[in-house]
Amino acid sequence: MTSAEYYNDRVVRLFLLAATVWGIVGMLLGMYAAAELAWPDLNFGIPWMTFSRIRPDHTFGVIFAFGGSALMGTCYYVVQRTGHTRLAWGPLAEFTFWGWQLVCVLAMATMPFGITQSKEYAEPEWFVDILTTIVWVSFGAVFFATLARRRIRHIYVANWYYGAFIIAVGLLHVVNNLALPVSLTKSYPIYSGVADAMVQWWYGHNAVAFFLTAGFLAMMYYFVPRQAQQPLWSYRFSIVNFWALISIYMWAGSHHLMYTALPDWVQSVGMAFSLVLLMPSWGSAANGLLTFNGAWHRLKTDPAAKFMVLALVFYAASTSEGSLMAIKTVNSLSHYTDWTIAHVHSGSLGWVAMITIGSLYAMAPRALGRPAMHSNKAMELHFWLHTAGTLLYVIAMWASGVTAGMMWRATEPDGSLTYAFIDSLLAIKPLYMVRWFGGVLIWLGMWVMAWNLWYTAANARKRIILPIPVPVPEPESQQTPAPLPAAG
Amino acid sequence: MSSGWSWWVIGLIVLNLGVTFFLFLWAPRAKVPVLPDGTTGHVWAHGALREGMHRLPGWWIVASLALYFIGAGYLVLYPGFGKYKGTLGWTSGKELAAATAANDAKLDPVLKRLAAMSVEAVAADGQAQRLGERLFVDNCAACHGRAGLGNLVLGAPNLTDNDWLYGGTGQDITTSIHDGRSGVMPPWNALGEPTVKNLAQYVLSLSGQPHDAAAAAAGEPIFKSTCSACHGPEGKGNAQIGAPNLTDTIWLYGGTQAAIETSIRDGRQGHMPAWSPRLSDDEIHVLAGYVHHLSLGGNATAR
Amino acid sequence: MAYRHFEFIEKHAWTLGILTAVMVSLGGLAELLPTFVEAGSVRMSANARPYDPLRLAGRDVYVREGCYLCHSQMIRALRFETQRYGHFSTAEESAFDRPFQWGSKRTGPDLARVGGKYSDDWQRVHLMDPRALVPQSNMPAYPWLATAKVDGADVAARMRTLRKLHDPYTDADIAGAAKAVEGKTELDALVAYLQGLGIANEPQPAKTGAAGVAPVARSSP
Repeated sequence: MTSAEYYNDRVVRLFLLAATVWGIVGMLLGMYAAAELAWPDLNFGIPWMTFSRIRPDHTFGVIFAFGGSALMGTCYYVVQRTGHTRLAWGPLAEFTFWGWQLVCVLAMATMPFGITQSKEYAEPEWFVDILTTIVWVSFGAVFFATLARRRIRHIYVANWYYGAFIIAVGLLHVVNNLALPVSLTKSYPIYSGVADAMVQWWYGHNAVAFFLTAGFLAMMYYFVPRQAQQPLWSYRFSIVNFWALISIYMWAGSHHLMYTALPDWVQSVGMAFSLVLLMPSWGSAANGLLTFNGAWHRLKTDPAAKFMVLALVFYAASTSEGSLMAIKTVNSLSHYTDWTIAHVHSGSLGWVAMITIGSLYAMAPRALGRPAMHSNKAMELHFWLHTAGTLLYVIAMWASGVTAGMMWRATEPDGSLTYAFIDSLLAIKPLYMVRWFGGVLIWLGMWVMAWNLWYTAANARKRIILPIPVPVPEPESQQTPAPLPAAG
Repeated sequence: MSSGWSWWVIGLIVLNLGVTFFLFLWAPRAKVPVLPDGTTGHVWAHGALREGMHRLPGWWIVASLALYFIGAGYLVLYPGFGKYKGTLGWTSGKELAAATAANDAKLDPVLKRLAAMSVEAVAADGQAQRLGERLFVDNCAACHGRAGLGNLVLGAPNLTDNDWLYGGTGQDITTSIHDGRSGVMPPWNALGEPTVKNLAQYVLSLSGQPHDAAAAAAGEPIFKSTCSACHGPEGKGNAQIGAPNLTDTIWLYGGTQAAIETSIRDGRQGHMPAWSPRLSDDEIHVLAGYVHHLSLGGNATAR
Repeated sequence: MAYRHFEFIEKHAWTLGILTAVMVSLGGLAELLPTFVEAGSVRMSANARPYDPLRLAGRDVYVREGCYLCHSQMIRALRFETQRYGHFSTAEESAFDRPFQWGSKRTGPDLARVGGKYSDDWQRVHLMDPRALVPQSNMPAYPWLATAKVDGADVAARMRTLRKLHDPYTDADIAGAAKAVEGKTELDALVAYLQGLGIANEPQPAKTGAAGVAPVARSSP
């Protein structure tokens, strides 16, 4: 009870480093893929450089490598702080780091060479899937074992979300990837046709729900009150939002398959639940934003807080857009166009990347034993690069999507279609260049962050960093921690 | 869907919406112990992390209630609640059928009016030209190009030069589109490379291009004995089998010496798919009119 | 329920975890299981035929290259879609697609009924160099397909695996696989697959019509 115990921040630092590197790699791939859509000869006839081969690398790189590393790192950081305990099973935690990096490297090194299941966001082949499952179960074990040894009885809401993220992603991953191998490099899903479509979008949509939403909401719930230095706005809001969000989201996947060969009833259920989903989505965004009430002045001086606030605004906006796009009539226009691309990127660049960057800027100095990030100006620059890039990207793709959607359905008074398919491509090509440029700005911003983290990590690199002691026993409800008892 | 599965789905919908609706009703009025500073008293992270207990915003309560009504109302009106069909009787198939019928009502009179006209008259009709152009761009342009100028790589003929492989009457054009065309020139590499080269020189001479006269003279008898079966003794071609005229300067696969040698040595297979499985007869009629219009130099629409 | 019940959940990690697992399972149980049952009956229908060896090899090239990232194979039940692409896609048509190829984005046009729209030559040239035929296209070139040979033993192994998943291949089908793909390149296989789309996987030889102006989908699904 009173033994000296220190937070395990080593594995947190490793994940922080990995997130930065993968962010740059994943976004570089995205930028290159975007350039190929504007200038198609950029694959130079090389198979693995072709758009259709590297696009899965981009999505895997940013979602699972960048996002996943950031989520696992912050999860380990948060579960220790909110439980006042050292991470359980240190070697296993270390294994989850190296295991996850191996998963990412294996996946991204095999997919461009055609070793792929070609299920969107679940492209890696069966042997990577098995390794992923092992690492994921280990991650869950470390998380729940740490929860089990927590010194604060009440589990903080961030951990509910991390828990839901771990459980649901595990479930989705296993069910969607059930496949029968032909050889080491090829397998067939056990589902086909309509069943495969339903499973895939149940998975795909909830990868968004639990990887890109629940996980990052967990991050939000910890780092937003921490950075605002205010209590979380409302606990009762947390309860209703959590249970509604995790259950309702799971029904919404079928809205990706409107007017397809999927039976009508499944489409309608997906749409109805997508609308009700707005309740916990708006609730979660509001709970975060209102936490800043009384601390808005921080935005003037704290770029990390700025990232967080804009992240929540983007979350509210893109989650509303998502439900709008789930309405059959809107979906008939938006589906198959760049509107979808605009939507995912306002979610991923606006919400996911910004809350991650904000949280990393909040966490990094603490995890790296520094009072603050190396350069405030650099954070400010990153904020503007990222914001400008995201807006350019999203507006370009939104315009492109609406243009293409309208052109596909445009009909003359005599009942004939107005445009050929190729006309829509010609109309949106300039927007592909704007999108690419937006991506360049975002990518440059990531380099600014990397530079800043590198200097912030000076002590850590010299290995003169002091471990942070766990406060034992539980402190009272006040800002300053209770004095630590003498060791021994 | 069987009744069992129907009840399964209904049960789960009711359970999930019920649980969340209960939470929605419960959360604003739940009695949770609160400290004087307005927080719950739960403390984490060295005392830095606390929770407030604010009332839920009015706009959120109103909006959420509305969303439940919309969601539930949607499942009353539309299929989704197990095998219950919804009060509107809507299906995606019915929606499509109605939209299609409404569009047919606009389109059919136009197509019928044009169907009663000859291809030549359709070619001169402004509305038909606009209609035909859109059909052309979505279906024909992939091979013949947007402006109908053809493609040497495929041997897709230029449609604007009023030179026809299979005849240029309205009926001929309609037949070409309706049934497709397959032009086959066999490979003549068995004749040996010197002969192929001599033949190429002779073919060049037919259209009055610069050529090696001696080689052409050597190729002539072989042309007369072999090639003339399809291309005719004077190389004027044969519209019955789509054998091109070799005495003009229009080339399907290019008129350079190298291209001609390749054509002779390796043969050529030009294939135009039949459009009858894909386009209706009325549409083919409009398209034939547009192609006829193109061939008259009326490339105005591709401006 | 009162607050103390929530307090109990939030103070007991196992309870929290189990309830979370239950709540995240509801949607999947409702939407996936009945869909599996319905999809099973589609696959058993007498008209459904699995891919022949060459087209199977081509389908797997299509899957490997990631064509689904820019091309859909799903003509939605919308008037302007059926008018442009033909009869809406049915469940039977993708019954043997593992994974399904409905796609999520059309940077290029829908391919559900592209079979027979262009000549084999067109498909070949277009895959080797798209801009030789469509100057405005932004599709990548796939020249390596022309030199890669299809491996007959591999195709047979794939068919055996698919048979384990209940795709109705006979012993004769599998025995004939190597011969069927002998000497074929991946380009040949892919072209064969594309030329079969909307034709060879149709439950009935549909008079699909209308790739242009005339609406065809006059029947309701």
